[in-house]
Amino acid sequence: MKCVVGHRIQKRIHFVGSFGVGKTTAMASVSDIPVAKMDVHSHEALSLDDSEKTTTTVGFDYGEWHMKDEVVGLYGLPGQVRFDAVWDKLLPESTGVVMWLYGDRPDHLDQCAYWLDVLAKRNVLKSLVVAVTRLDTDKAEPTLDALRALVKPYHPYAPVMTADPRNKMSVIQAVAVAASTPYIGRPEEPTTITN
Amino acid sequence: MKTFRVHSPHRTSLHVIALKGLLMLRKGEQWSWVSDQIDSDVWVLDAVKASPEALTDLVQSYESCLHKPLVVYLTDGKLTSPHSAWLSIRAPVHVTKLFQLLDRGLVDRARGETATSATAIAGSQTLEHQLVFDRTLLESRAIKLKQWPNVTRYGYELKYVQACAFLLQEHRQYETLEQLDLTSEELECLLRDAHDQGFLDAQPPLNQSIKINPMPSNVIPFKSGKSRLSSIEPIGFFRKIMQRFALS
Repeated sequence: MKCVVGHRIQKRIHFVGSFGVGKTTAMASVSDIPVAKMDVHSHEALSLDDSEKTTTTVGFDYGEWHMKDEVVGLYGLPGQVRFDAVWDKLLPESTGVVMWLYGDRPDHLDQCAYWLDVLAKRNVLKSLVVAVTRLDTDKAEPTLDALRALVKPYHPYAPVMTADPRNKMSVIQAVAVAASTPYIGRPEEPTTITN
Repeated sequence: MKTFRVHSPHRTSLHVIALKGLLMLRKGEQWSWVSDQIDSDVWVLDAVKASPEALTDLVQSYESCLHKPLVVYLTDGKLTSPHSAWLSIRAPVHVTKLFQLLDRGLVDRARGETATSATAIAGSQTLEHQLVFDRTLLESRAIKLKQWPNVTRYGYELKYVQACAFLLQEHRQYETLEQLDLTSEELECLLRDAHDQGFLDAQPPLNQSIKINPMPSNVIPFKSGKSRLSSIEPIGFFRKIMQRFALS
């Protein structure tokens, strides 16, 4: 019998974003194992009037990718600030971060700024992608341009894309962008779209 | 605070209104809309809204101006500019591209170079300032992406992620891009879109300040399949994702 002590997780992909944005759905789309959920019924869910969501993640969701020679851990972090202890524990060990944003909500820029700050404080901007949901790809550029301007002071290549958490290949593509983004460091001076 | 007087005969055009909104984002500048053609610094024209007769009149008015305004000609991509000095920009405009062209156009105009824009910019050695994408101008140049494009617009295939990551890392000789897993049409589409968005940096090869990186000599270009995908300087984890999912 082979004795295994500890775990084989060498790399960790973290899905972050506001409450109800689709992190758990994204994980379920790509995980090789059934996603271990730590959801409870939530009154906040009732405020999402365009969603059937009735639960929220209080610990973290966990899934796995089984690669040829290693297991990649997929972690869905709770979206509410009261669980920031979970962020502190998990984010510093991140291999890549997928930030999920609603593209059709008026506060998407505020949400993006908020999460950029969360990630910057934990020094995990290196392998970042901002995945924007609920946007028609053909008409997304004005929204993406505004987000790129926001992300650029934090990440010089502003990896911002549209994505669908329900679509396996879309989620994989988002993770691939995070994993492949060359990072030359955060610009010393924030750059803007103006002179 | 610099003040610019803008004139448009198509002020109800949605493209012109959108462009007006973008101009308001520029810091240190004030853009006022004026009805007087002659007394304006910038004209904004909507090619779709303008009748041929009106365009002829506008060209004549432009020619008669002592101090030539900077003319932004918003086109649908099919209609060509009736004047070589006018800046043709495909609507809806991309903010980065618009600001790059405006910056250059306004600087040149301030210098008194009345025939700025299209003619002058088209003569530039840097493709970044070309108004119309021309793939042949990329040949022998060092190319780099300045930002991630929205790769989803090409579908969910990872080969576009791979190509963009390769072009983001450093300047690459155009010829090396043939070894990416994109067809020439796919590559041209990617580069054209990046150019139109202002994401493409193309430098002449003789510019010694730019480090040009050809494909590593130990990399053998493959014809197809996974081996070819893995030949393009993969980044460790990304390579594993490609191996696992690229052909699934």
